[in-house]
Amino acid sequence: MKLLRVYTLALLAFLWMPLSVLLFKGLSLVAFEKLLNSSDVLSSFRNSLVLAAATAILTTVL
Amino acid sequence: MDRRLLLIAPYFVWLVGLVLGPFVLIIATSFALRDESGTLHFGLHFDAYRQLADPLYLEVLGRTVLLALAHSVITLVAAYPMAFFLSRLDRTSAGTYLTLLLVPFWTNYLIRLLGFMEVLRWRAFGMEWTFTPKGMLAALLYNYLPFAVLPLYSALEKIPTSLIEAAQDLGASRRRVFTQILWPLTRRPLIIVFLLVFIPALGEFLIPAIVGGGRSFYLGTFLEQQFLISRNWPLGAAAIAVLLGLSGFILIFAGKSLAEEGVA
Repeated sequence: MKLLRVYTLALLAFLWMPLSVLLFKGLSLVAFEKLLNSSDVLSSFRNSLVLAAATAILTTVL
Repeated sequence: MDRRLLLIAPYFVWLVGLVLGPFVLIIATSFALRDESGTLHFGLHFDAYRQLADPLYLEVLGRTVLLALAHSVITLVAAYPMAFFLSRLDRTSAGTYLTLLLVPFWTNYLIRLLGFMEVLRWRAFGMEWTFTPKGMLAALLYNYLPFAVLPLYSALEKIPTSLIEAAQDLGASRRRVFTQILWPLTRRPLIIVFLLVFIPALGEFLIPAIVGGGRSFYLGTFLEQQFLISRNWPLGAAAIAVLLGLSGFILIFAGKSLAEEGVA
C-alpha cells in the first residue's frame, strides 16, 4: 500500500504540475491587478458565468 | 396527452434537433458534391468516400487509431493501481484524493494544455517531448486519467477487502490475487473504461494541434483542415461518417462481449 500511495501521489503531482506552472510563472500580483482592472476580462468573465449557469440549469431541467 | 410523453418531450426535441439532426446533416453532406466554386450539391455522390480511400488519408486514419489505442492502454495501466489504492481507503481519505484528482479539471482545457506544454519543455528524462508522439501520449494520459480512474474506482470499491485478505491468507501471491480475483471482477468495467478513453481520443483535435504542433496529421487536425481551411465539407463529413462507423462497430463489439458476460 505504501508503494501505491507514492504512485498515486506521483500521478496527482503529474496532474497538478501544469496548473502550478501557470499559476506560479513570474509570481507577482501585477497580472491579477491587470485582470481586475480590465473591463474586457470582467465582461467576458460575466458572460462565461451566465452561459455556464444557463447551461447547468437547462441540462438539469432536461 | 399522456403525462409521461409530456415529460420526455423536451428530451425528445433535444435528441431529434441536436443529436439526430446534425448526424443526418453530416451523412447528407458526405454524399454531396462540391463544385469548383465551393457550392454543395446534395445527392448520392460517392466522390468524398473515393477521395477518403486515398492512401494518404488512410494513413492519417491508421495513425489516429494507433495513437488512440496506445493512449487507451497506457491510461488503463496507469489508472488501475491508482483506482485500486483509492478503493482500499476509507471514504474520507478516498474523497480527499478524488477531489485532488478532479480539481485540476475544473480549469479550461486549453489553459491546462498550455500549462502542460510548459512542463513538456522541461525535457524530462533528457528527452524531447514537445511536438512528438510521446508528448501527445503524455498529454492524452494527463487529460483522460480521471475518466479512467473514476469508473475503475467505483468497480474496485465493490470488491470487499476480506476477499483479497482471504486469498492472501490461503497463500495467494499478489500476482495471483490480481489474475484470479481482481482481473475477472474488473474485466467488464475495464472494457467500458477503454471505450470511454478510446473513442474521444479518436476525434481529439487540440492535443495533436498544440502538443503535436500540427506536424503530422491526425483525424482531428484533418477535420479542422477540411472544414475550416480547404472548405471541403463532403470530405470532412465522410471522415466523420467513417469515424462514427468505426466507433459504432467498436461499441457493438464491446456490447456483445459484455452481453456474453451477462452485463448488457
